[in-house]
This record gives sequence, C-alpha cells and structure tokens, in this order.
Amino acid sequence: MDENSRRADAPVLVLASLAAGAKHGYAITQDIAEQVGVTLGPGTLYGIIARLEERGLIRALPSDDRRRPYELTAAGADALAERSRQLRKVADLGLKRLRTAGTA
Amino acid sequence: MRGLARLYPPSWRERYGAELDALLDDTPPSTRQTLDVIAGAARAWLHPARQLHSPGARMRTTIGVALYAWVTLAAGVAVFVQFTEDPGFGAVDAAHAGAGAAHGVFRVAAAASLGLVTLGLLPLAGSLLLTARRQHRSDVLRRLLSPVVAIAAFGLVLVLVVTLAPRSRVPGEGIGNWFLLLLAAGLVAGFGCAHGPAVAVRRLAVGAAPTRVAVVALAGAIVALAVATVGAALYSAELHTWMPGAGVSRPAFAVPFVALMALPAAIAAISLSRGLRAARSATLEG
Repeated sequence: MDENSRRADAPVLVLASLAAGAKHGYAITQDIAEQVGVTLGPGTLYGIIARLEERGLIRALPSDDRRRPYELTAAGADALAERSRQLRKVADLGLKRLRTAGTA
Repeated sequence: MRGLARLYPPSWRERYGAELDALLDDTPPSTRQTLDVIAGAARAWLHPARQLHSPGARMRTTIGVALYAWVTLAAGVAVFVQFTEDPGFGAVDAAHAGAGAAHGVFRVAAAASLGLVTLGLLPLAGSLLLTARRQHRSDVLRRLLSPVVAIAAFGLVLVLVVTLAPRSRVPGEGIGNWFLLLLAAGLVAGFGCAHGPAVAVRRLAVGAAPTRVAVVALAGAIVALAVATVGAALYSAELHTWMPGAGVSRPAFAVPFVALMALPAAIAAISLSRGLRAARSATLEG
C-alpha cells in the first residue's frame, strides 16, 4: 500500500478498529498494524481522531488514565458501513475486470 | 519523543497533549515517527479547526480573536464619532430624515455593541478573577488587570494632548498631528485592553456557562458593530448630498473606512461561527 492510499484509508481503518470495541491511541495503532499491516504514526493518528471526533463519528470515554479510550458512535457505525460497501464495490469491480482480462 | 507534543498549538495540547504523550511513551522512537509528529503539529497550526475538537478550547480561542476584532472595529467607530461630533451634523440630522435615521442606526448599534461586550464579558471576567485567585495564578491576574493600566495610560495621553494642543477658533485647525497621536494612543490602549484578557482566557479554563455567554455576547457585539458600519456608510452617503464639505461625506473617507471595518469583521465572523458551534456542542454535552 503506497503512502497516498494509506492516508486516504486511515480514517476508515480507525473506525474499523473501534468497531471491535473501545480502544486508546496505542491500542488502535497496534490493532491496525496487526490486522492490515499499516502503521499509523502518532501525529497522523491524532489528526484523524480529532477530525472523527469533530464530525461525531467517535467519542472519547471518561478516563482517569492519560490513555483515553474512544468508541464508535451510531453515526460512526453508519459511516463505516457505507464506506465499506463502497470499497467492496470497487474491489468487486476491480477483481471482476481482472478476471475478465485473465490476469487474476 | 515526548517533548514533541510541545510543537502543537496550546489549545490542541490542552485537549490531546496528555494522550499524545502517553502514545509517544508507548511507541519506540524512530525518525519516521518523529517526522510524523512534526507533520501533525504543522497541520494543527495550519488548520486548527480541523485538528481540534475541544469545545472549551475552541470557545476560548474565539473569545481572544473576537476581542481583538471588536477593539479594532470600536476604534473605527470612535474615529467616525470624532469626525461627526460637530453641531453642524445635528442640524443636518434634524433637517433630513434619511441622514437622521442613518446616524441614529449608527449610534444605537454602537451603544448596543458596547453594552453587549460589557455585560457579556462580566461573568467570564469574574470567573477568571476568582479562579486565578484561588489557584494563585498571578500571571493571569496581571493579564486581567492590563485593561485598567491601558485605560489609565490613555487618560494620561489625553490630558497631555488637551493641555499641549494649540487652541483655535476654527474647529480642527492645527491639531492634525495631535489627533493622529491621540488615535495611535487609543489604538495601543485598545489592543492593551484586548490583549491581556485574551491571553488570560487562553491560559485559564473556567466554567462552560460564562465562556458560552461571552461567545454569544461577542457575536452580538460584532454584529452590532457591523450594523453600525452600515449605518455610518449610509450616513456618509446622505452627507455627500446634504453636507458635501464634511470630510466623512467624501468617498475617499467612506470607501477605505468600510473596507478597513470589513476585514476584522470577516475574521471575527469566521472565528465566531466556529466558537458558536462549539458553544452549542458544549450545551448539548451539558
């Protein structure tokens, strides 16, 4: 995955990670690295968290620890489902065309 | 790695700084991670609205920006008042309904703006003073007292100008440089009045209610000064017909005046739209 693709998909990766349950920043980066092999830098991750929080797609949970967990909101779940359907269509089309061309 | 969080804007650090520090503590240091944090900090400085979700910090930033804008606009209004205080203007207002109405709109809107700022900022000022005293924050107390110093200094300059400026039977004759000195002193004093409280409100978080009241009051005060500017422009156009000799009736005064007033009003409008959204968000969160 090149840098541009990684940057474009990073918010979806964060939403997908939180779909499995509330996590703090380090747990999100570890989960994404383990599941899809993409390592989000701390600056990139917190830029995404701020934008997703501002749009109401995730919310911070109360915590006494510095490691504050975040969870997906209902709007975030809807946005993730919609984006996942779009990505599936793109993936299906790409694979179908490649099969037709006989290269996959 | 940990000190890298200091590269972010203060309001961003207040909201996410501890979390980022924790993440940096957990992350093995590397050049790539360091560059990623530096790039993130640059984005936070360049696009603060997209990189920060903290209603409290957003509202406090808006209060600071709106205070500077209000002082700039108020200085413009004060200059217009200075140029239209001659008794001859009163005669024109009385004789021509259009001129009287435009001048009335200007006066009422300017007075309303001053009232809104004074009343709207009182709860926040009181809250800041009490919190600063309780927490022994002498730096914040000094900032909050800066308007008193600025106004006293301006009063001193005013007394000196009134004492030293030459007297003349013709209003305004021979006092051009003294007027400019007074105008410059007024601007410096105005920014002194805005700067201290703007820094204090950024440094010390107080309750959400007085912060929200201040944002809403400043929004109203800026709108009122925008209305006053429109009133001034209309009055200037009326004077162009009924009192063409007056300086404020000339397009060479009116056009730059409106243009210079529009700039701080636009900056304040952008910041206030974000601040009001944050105030609404803070209300919904309770």
